[in-house]
Amino acid sequence: MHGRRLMSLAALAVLAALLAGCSGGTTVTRMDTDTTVDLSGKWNDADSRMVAEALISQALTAGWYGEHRYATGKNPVLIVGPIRNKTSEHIPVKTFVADLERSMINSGKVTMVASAEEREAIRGERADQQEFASPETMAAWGREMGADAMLLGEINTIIDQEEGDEVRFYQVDVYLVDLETNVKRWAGYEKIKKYVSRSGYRP
Amino acid sequence: MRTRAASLALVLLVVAAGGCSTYVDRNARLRDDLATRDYDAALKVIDEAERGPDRLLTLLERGLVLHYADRWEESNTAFEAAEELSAELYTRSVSQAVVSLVTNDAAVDYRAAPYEMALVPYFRALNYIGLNRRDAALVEARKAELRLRDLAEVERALARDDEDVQDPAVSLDDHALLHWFRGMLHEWGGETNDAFLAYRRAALAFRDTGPALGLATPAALGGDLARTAAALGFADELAEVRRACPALTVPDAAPAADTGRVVLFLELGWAPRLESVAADVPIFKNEVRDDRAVMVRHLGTRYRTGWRSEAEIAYWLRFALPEMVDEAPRVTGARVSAGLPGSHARAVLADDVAARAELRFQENQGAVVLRTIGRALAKWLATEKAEDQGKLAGLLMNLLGAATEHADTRGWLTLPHGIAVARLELPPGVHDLRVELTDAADRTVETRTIEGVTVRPGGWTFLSRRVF
Repeated sequence: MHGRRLMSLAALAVLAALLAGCSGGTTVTRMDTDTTVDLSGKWNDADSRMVAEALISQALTAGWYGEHRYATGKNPVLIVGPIRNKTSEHIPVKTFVADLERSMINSGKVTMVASAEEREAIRGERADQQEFASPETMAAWGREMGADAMLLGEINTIIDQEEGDEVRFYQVDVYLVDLETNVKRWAGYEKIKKYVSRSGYRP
Repeated sequence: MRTRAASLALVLLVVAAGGCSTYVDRNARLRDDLATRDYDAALKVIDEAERGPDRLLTLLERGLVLHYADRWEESNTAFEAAEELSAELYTRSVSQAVVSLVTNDAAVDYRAAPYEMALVPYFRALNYIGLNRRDAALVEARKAELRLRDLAEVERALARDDEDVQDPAVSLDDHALLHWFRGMLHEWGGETNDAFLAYRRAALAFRDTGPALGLATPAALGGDLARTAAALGFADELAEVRRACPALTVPDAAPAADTGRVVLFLELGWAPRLESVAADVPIFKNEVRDDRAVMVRHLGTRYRTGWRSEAEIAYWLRFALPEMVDEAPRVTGARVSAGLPGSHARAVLADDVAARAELRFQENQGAVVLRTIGRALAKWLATEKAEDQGKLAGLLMNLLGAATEHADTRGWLTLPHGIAVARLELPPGVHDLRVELTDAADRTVETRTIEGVTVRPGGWTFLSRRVF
């Protein structure tokens, strides 16, 4: 009887061994890009989008905006400058910058101009037009719009861990700096706090 | 009917396990291909290897070969996947344990030794430097600090959960090279305060782990601390570090402000590898077999200390154990010079990977011996029981035991034996570095030239080379 049990156990182990080598398979489910899915607790697309929207909402309802409109009668012209990632994870900062720009453009309350990198490409195209485009369709030099202010910022994080539990705290600070005077016209921040619980180390 | 099914399953396993060679055997060409810089051939060896429980190792080997092939982006992709898989394997319920009980330790997923995973941020940071992505290299610097803390916790948990695993003699929290490298990266990124803190951690780590790992506090670290302390007005803090670390040498005069710093990492030789060795221990005729756990402990003691018994031997229990093979690297240091007055430095050992591997091996060996003996004993007892049921069953069980008995010899094969660091302060411009590679007796064994090293005023230039 004991021998039979041993043999059955061995058979089970064989099955486990064989199955271990062929488990898995990939399942793909398409989902709405606005859906928030937190898998690892790391910074993700939903964080990027929500923080950008919150910051731009703060920026465009702050005092500097009304003052600018009152003084000039026009929407402010802005540019997004460097946003530094000072966290311990690889955050796609370009995606976050794109989210900031999109929120500002879609608000209809500001005019955005191209970044330094984008301007290089545009100027290359304009130079090309001088040679190859017809005079009536050619873009003229010297008519670029200068920005009034630049949005700068940084992403910081504090991670507190104890065995399998983790609290991830992100703070995104942004500043709007007047390009002529270097005066900081507005400062805003947005925080995210996530509690991540994992099963701890298993021997 | 049930017995026949079980027998069939056993035959299947014997057939499957019979083809199992060790990880080292399967990857025998990998080191040769890397040493001859035939990266495509090395990648082919890795790609052709069985994945299965070696998935993590495959990613680590791949990441490092791609790093040396200057395919930094792909290397980081492989390393990132390795980090994610490692985290998953350490937190997942390991149901495969039942498989290892009747086969061998190599049948379960390789989770990588913590000292192996600790070096991933080092290589990833070098990849980002190669890609000229300073911000991403800085992320690795910050990540390294967290990873070291996590890995040190894993090591402590391993010892806590298994009474036969010894507490780590050297905590990965005190990884001197990584803290020093973090400091350099922070300073390069203008994060002077973080740089000072990292340098201080490095100084304390060299003090605390140096004796066990055979590391001396590098002279350049004193200069790094002095420079960042001066920039921050941290005179008291610097004095405190000097008191805590008497081996630290702080230069009297700071180098000229317009010089640039060149850092040369030399990754030396090969990390130790594991081989499978056969061992045996006698089971006496009068041996009480009621409590298998007690019997395993008795056999473990018998294996370690020998035996003096007149009792008749009933059976020689055979099993396979891993044995660490450490080959001293041909190159152990270097003299580096830019050919200008005062522009020379020694490459000093800043991390001894082999010593870490040896310590970890010793700390785990007690648990490995007991687990292996326990498995061999279970197989023998099963064979005895099976023999009661007939010759065929006994034979099959015996075959199963023999065919599945391999020591777990897995380990990151392409890792270096150690990492030495040379630091130079050079005037701005483009320099050629003469690197005299030296052996343990300080004889020059090879001379190389690193051409066209650009130095910017106050800047940092990071270089790394693998030497065999």
